[in-house]
Amino acid sequence: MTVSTHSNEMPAEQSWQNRWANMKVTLAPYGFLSPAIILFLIFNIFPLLFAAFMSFHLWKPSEGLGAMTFVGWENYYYAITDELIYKSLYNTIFMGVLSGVTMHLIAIPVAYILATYIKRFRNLFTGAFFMPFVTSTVAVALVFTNMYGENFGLFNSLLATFHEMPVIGSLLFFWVDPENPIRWLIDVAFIKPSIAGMQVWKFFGFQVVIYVSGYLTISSEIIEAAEVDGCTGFGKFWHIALPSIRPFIFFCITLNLIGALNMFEEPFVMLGKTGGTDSAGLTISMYMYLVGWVWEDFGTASAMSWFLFAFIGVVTGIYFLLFGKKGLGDS
Amino acid sequence: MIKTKHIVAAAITAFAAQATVADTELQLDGWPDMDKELALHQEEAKGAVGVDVKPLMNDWIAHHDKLKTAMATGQGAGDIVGVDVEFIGTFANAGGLVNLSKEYGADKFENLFPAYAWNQGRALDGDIYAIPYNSGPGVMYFWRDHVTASGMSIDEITKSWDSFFEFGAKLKEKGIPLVADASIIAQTIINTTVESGNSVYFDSEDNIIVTNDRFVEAFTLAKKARDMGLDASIGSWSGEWFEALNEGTYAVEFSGAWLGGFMERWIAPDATGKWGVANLPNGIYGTWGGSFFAIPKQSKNADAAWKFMEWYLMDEDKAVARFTATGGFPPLNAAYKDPAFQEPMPYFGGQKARALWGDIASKITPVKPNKGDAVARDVVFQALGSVLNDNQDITKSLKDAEKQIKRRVRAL
Repeated sequence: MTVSTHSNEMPAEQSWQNRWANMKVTLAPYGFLSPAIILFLIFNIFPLLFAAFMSFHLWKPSEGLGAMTFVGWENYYYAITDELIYKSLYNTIFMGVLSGVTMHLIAIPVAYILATYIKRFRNLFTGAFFMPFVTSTVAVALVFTNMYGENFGLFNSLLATFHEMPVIGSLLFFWVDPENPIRWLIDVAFIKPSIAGMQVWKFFGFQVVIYVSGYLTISSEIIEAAEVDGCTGFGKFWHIALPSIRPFIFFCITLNLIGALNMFEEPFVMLGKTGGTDSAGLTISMYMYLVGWVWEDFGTASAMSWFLFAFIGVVTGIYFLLFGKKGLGDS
Repeated sequence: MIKTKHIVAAAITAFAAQATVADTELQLDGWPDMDKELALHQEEAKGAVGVDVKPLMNDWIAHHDKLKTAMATGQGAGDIVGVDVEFIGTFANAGGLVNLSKEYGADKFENLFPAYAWNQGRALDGDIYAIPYNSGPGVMYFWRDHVTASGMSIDEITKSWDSFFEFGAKLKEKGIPLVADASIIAQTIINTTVESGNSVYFDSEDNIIVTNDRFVEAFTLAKKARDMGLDASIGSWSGEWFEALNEGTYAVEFSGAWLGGFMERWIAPDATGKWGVANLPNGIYGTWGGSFFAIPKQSKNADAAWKFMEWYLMDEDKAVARFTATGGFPPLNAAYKDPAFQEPMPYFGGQKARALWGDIASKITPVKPNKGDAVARDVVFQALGSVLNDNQDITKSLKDAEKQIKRRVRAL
């Protein structure tokens, strides 16, 4: 309608058309982005804001939205004065560091061997190492629970078998006591290493894949030059390969950090919701789930999640500050 | 000719019935085997109550998490929801369920159910919010050969905790563990010897009572069993546990009557004739598990849902049919008079196990659920783990548990 009234005023019509055309160009990208933006707003931004809102309220979800009562900073007070939050944070970091370091100590040399010495079956091996990573965590955790079993578990049976072997038994496995098998998932001293061990098995293949591709980026000229200079097997690994994959190591450690702080399914399946004896395997994510979903205190759980957010922020900040530039290879 | 006429007439009536009254569709939210049990009467319900009940099953944890979300947001729950006894205190008092006493006069059905099961569905306001679906009278399962080997009779063994431990010591000499895990002894005492007027973890004024004599005795006896080396350290529902139940690795299991059905059908089908059932030791009666049906306030078909529940849950024949199909123990007094309850059970060596379960069900004293039960239970059993597996002091652990629960109940 508007168009027809202005039809005899050419310049105005043109400018209107121009403006519309311009607007189409500027708006079009947002139009195309809108599904993603809408989903992002609904599933990322809204929960974030809602969690912030909840953290100032006392709320038992089964009583409905109307049951929220404003309590100010009280939830934060409860969150930071809670002994278990620190214990679970400690457990999380302990298991993360233990599994992360072990994983790297295995993945870096294994990937190097695959990349340099094994040409024909490299993909087969890499694929085999990668298998655990794509296997369902819950299934893996269930299988490991059986293998860690005290009486009929695979690990204890193996130890007992080694113990009874003629020479090896008395030299290396003299400490095994078949009468008192190791309680992998019950004894406080063994819970964290047991979970970390499973994590190493599950995730090191992923790092092998990354490191193999990392090693393959090293130009053969550098290696040949080094060989001319008399650099041999271990020297090539230590002086050339390892420094060259620094950005890859940085990437893997970052993923490790995120993965470790989110650790949930493995201990949850293997130890139950309260994290086993003395909560020795309770991770921070499990604890938030326990407080929020099982104990129905969403306010405190939200406050805890903001506390965790701040903590991750600080840790990542320090990590990037210390290793960021070097890690990304722009030294 | 007459026959054809009849058939035609019947067909017309059936068609007319179907055309005039469309069945109300109801959604039943729960966890397996509620779907399998529903299938037994799904078709019949269409004709009898005019409802077409569709099951929506999730695993046990996911179902209750989903239910919490639905209650929180006011939508998404089925017309009928299953609620496990572990959460009944939470949901019954949360205000999201239909008050069945006020809306439908549910109290008139009280006498159909064993008192303990019925009262678990009662909220703090005294009204009924959930109807028992199945229940778990507490039973002692024993491996017959081990009992014979000990030279003691089952009555002697269950006479008191002392004689029970004496039995354990005799087995120990033969290298047979008494129980899977010592914590089961504590669990038995905590759940079954609740002081009158109290709930399991709280007194009538909501004070925490986890440091009282019952808890100290429970922890002490469990610790004693551990120290005497009477348990096999096998966790319930683990692979080792299934294997142990098949092979009689240990002598005694305490659980609900439903475990018998589970053992026979899928946990330990090879152990036919090997297990027996008896009363819990020391003359105690108590419950192990159980679940309920309730109607969320958000349901648009609450009346139809209640009609279906009345038809489905109050009738002993249907309850017995479910029981014989899956092992879910019926919470109906009349069901225990069913001939099926007098049958000797080959799986239990010809023992009339169901009759014993029914007898136990009628003797259990009701214990009121409390809204803090879920938190308190987690904290107390965590403390028990520390005592048993990490040698922590009993009094101190219970004091710590009390402190932790106190912090938590702020939010309840």
